[in-house]
Amino acid sequence: MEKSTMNEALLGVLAFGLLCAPAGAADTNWLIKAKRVYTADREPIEDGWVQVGDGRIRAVSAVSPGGGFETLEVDAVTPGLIDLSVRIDLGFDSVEQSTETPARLEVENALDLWDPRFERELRSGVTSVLVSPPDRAVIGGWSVALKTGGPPTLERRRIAGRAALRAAIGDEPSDGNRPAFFQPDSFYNRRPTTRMGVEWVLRKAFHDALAARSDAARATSETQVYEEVLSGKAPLIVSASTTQDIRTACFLQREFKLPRLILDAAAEAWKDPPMVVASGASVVLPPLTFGGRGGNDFAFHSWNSAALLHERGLTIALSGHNALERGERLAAQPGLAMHAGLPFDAALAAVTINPARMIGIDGRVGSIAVGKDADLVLWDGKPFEPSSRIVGVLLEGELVLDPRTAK
Amino acid sequence: MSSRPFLRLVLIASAFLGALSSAQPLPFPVQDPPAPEESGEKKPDGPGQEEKKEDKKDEKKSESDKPEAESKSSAKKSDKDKKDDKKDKDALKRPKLAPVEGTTLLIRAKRLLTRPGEELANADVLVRDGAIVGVGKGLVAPEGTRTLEADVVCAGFLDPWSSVGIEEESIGTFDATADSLTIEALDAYRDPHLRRQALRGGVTSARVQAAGRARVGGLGAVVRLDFGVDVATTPKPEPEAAPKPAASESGASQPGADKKEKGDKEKDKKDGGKSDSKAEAPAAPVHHAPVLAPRHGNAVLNEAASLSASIGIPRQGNPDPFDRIGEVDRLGAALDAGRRLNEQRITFAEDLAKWEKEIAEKEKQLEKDFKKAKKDREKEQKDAEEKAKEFKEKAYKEDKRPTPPSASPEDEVMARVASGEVPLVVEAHRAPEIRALLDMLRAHPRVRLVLAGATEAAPLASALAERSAAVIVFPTPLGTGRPSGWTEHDLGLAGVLDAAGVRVLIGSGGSRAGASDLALMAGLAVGHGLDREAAFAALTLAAAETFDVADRIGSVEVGKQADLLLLKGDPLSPAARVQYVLVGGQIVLEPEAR
Amino acid sequence: MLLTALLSTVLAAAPAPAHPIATDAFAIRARKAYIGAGPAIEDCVVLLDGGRVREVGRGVRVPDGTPLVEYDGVLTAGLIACGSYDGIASGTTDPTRAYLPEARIADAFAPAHPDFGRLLEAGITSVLLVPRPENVIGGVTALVKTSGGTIVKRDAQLAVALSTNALLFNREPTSYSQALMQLDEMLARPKGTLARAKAGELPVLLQVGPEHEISRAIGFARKHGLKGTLFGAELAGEMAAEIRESGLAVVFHPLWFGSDRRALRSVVALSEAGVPFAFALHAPDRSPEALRISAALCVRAGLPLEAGLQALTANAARIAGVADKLGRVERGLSADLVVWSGDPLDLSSRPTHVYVDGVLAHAAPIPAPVKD
Repeated sequence: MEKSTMNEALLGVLAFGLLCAPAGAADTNWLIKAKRVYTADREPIEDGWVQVGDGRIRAVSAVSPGGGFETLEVDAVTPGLIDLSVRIDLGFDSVEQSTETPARLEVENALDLWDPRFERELRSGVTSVLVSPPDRAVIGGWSVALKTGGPPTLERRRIAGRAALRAAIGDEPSDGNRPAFFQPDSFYNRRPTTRMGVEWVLRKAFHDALAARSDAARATSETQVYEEVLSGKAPLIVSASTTQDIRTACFLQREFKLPRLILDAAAEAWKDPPMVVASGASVVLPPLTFGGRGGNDFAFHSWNSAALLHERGLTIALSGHNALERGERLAAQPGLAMHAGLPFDAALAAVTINPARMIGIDGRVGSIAVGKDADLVLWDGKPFEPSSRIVGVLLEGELVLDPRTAK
Repeated sequence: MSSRPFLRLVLIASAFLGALSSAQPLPFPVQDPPAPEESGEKKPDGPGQEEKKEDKKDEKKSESDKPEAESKSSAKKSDKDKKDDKKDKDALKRPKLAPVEGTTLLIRAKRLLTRPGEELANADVLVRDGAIVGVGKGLVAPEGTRTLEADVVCAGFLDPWSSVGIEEESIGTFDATADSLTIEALDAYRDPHLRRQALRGGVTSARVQAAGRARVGGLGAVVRLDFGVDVATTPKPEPEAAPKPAASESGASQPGADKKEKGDKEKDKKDGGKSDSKAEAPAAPVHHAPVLAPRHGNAVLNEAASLSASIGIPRQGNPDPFDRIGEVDRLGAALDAGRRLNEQRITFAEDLAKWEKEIAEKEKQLEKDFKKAKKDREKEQKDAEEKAKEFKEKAYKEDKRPTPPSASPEDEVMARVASGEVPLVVEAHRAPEIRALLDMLRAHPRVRLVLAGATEAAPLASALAERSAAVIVFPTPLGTGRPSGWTEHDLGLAGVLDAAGVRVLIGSGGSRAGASDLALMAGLAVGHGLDREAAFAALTLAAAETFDVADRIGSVEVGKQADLLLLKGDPLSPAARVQYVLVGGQIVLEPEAR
Repeated sequence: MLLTALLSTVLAAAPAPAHPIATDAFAIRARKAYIGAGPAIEDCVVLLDGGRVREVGRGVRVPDGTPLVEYDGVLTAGLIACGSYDGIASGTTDPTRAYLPEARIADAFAPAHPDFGRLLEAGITSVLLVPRPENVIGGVTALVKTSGGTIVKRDAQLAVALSTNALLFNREPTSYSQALMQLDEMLARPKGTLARAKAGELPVLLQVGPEHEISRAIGFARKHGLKGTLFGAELAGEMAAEIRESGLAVVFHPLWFGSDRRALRSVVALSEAGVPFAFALHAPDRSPEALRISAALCVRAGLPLEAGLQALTANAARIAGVADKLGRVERGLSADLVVWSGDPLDLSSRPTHVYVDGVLAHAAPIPAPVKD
């Protein structure tokens, strides 16, 4: 009896202590009450509660879980947004141009985690990103999945290293390569200088990997990388914007039976959806901009491409390309897509659970579910409506943007 | 010449000469603040308002009226009124300083450096309404006056060669004319952290110059480094019951702090969270609701402190050596034009007076013979009608009124330079160019020359002393690997010039950030031969005198503004710590919390 | 022999007729001296013999017959510039190859270079010659004297530039990731200087810039167990804890008038965290005075005076690996001494006499002020 009262007293003291704990960097225990909780993997919960503790989601329910935690009351809460095509890197220092297939390299060794653009993305609601090497090489190397905030060390921010292998089809990878007669000593005197050459390099890479399966003598550290893609261990994310580039990617998939293909910045996928559906690829759409062009090579990005592709059954993700304009950032893209006919649930999935599943990080992020990281975005109003604002952002339970002062 | 016009010439000439003499200290009102209608009038309209660019168009219209209005008034006024005119002109160049209400401070110093070479031990300074009202031992202040204690107190430094606070495009541009105004290029939001750094380094004012490297850069200004707040129109602060934590670095908005946002950052965001120290002294005035006055309020001490020119500075690519020689000639031609304008004006004034006298006489005569003249005129008219001839009115000298000399705004400025009213600051480094400049200026004995840079001026020290030229040195050692038009800044230059009797000033080379370490640069110069007292004078009184603000700043004396430094340690030593900085009697920097 | 020859040349230039010959023992008495860590010593006597310090202290007795030179100034150890691109007879960068592990900068040392005179005048008695950070492995640095042509340490550190300057667009590697991968491969089967670096015999000089380069370099050093120094680490003080944990020291780029106060505060923060640091020179781009100016600016921003002086002397010697020979006025160490006209970190004082290996290499006594 005495023991239990003592325990209760201790608990009371603990709870009191937690209550008194100043809301600051150390505090990762919250109780969020929202008119609607959009979990992204099931039906939204009306008047729901989300309990956050020690950086994880402890409870999601329609009834208050209790506990003496600090409560944040908002209109809506969604999972933290995920951008698979964020394009924050150190430019030419992040991609190896001495060879067209530096496939073994990992871009995580060539990033600046202090880059203020990460902070900007975080404050705009994007909590996880996939950072890829710039598209100056045909197969640029391994992309890394990162959180956009937290202590600036790779150990703390990395969600998954080698999350996807990056390739690029189009103009960019051959840009800068030239025939030998201009500068005889330059290592840019090499193929490919055309789109055909780029396709050739890609096909050769996977061809050699297939050959290595049967002939061990032909296995190199590079073919081992492609083998991971061929076996489905890692997805291949290919930058392909124009119709012909998307077609090339689909041919590649068909020839080598690539199990996990992601088309990045696939602006013109809306022109031939059946082809993309047949390839089983998932699609990452570039941000809708006011000019109507999207992705690379002046591809024409139709305003209703998300809705169109969704109707055809494609898994789509939206991306932001670290846009400067508020109206072009990732948080604004679902709203634009919905305006063109994309249903709300699909729009929400396109920035949360879909990208997470595409690169296999859905065990940690992508939806509001017990045990996942407490990466949440708090809204005043219905999410993605133009009149709604992001009033709060939590990253692993830490309050990055405080709804109490944002008003 | 008949005696009357000659007398006028002498009177008018003396008026001009009066303007040349070094600025007479205007007695600063150490009394109750003037009545509101007086303090509201900051800038008298009318003659002499040459600077305002936006009024240029109106100017061109009224220009022709100006000189005659001037001379008309001077023709009729007495000597005393002429002094008032000069005072008006002076006030146009240097805006009136409105008194700063509600600031009374008593400063107790262990060492009070009043003037270069003069020092008082254990002395006090009493500050009221922004000015120094008492200096001496054992001063008594009214009850409740805030008292500050300090080891060393001296006047704030003046950096005579800086570009802090000027907007980006106006710093490096070569596109300027003599009438360009630096105060129009000041951006109160620009570089507040650099100005704060400079204040922390002890520099309270600077002569700033836009387009400093242009051939002719326009009129520079002496400004206080905390500009952005018009104290005269800022509402009086209410006594604070509890300290406002608004001055925190996160900028979290608080109800009262909303007012503090614009342009106030350099005032109360002193390295974060200093509001705690305010809690101990609620009587200390804090700036609220900053209002940007068109002329930046009390911050501008002299709007036309100097005309800047440069010779031999590499602008685009390597300059043609003949181009360099041509620059001196061009400057000479501009000065000639200015002097000619002065002379023309004098002549015009004299001619106008003469003509007016004649007209007056003729009118008098006409009065007498009016009836006769009327009859004559009617007769002529009738004759003309009968003879069907055209009747022409007799032309009187009315149409032959002497016209004032036309002058472009640039000539106006050069006229002021040629007469010595505005000093000429020339950046030149090579000895042959400096020599050519001195030769050219022989024809303009009234021009007040200030050389900036003057890297190779050592052999010309005596010529410069003869000329009473001042030299702004930039004592920073350069490496040999730097590509530049000259080899290096000679650290011993300041010492050599000072020994030869040249007035030496120390500036930060026209940079934006260099003012922060001006005292250290002075230390370097002292280490290479500059007399220590001369170095201190260079930073304070000598610089103020050169740019006509010595009646307002430059030393700790009654009547001057309270722009003061309270330090620990000798001002020129690197171990010195600036504790408080006062500008206009306001505490703008407090000791850094460590 | 060599020493006397040099000495006669030096003495011919310096008007100090009464100065004793250095090879014999002599003594110096200074009004004040900073001999190492700790407060200044008044009326300090230093006994010198054969180019080294024999005894130093306040009450040191000068043996009979030993010539004594008296100075009314402040004595310190000679300043050590922990990084300079000067004094070298050729360029130090090779745009054709990114990895030059066996290149020794001592081979390009030009003792007769005129800029050494300027370094001496500023009180700098030794200099760490480093290659510019334009090759991923730029070579081996060397510590040399600014007078007398002595190479104190021929293989001081292995210079590794993990910085954007070394990643040229037309030479492999063009990316950080490739550079790291190649370095990993080279260190997996190391030869020559790389083997010595891996074994801990040769410290590395990691030439870096912004925070992410510092972070990458620390990770690289930790992965291969390398000891050494971060060179040019801007704003290193903001990462003081990680740097201290890594065991690496820091050499800062020289600071200047008008430098960002954030940079100054970073030096102070690093000092407070207990990380040893020194300053580089970047001569000939910067004047030799930049060394003292950097320290003086930091002192003004809150760095204790002794810490500033240590950065220019003892810490620099430790970073260069010559703490047993230079950096302090101590028994057995080289007689590299400077007599200042006032406090060494006060910019208004100047070096009046500079000794290198006991030889008076520079004398510029300040004349009494004459004013009419």
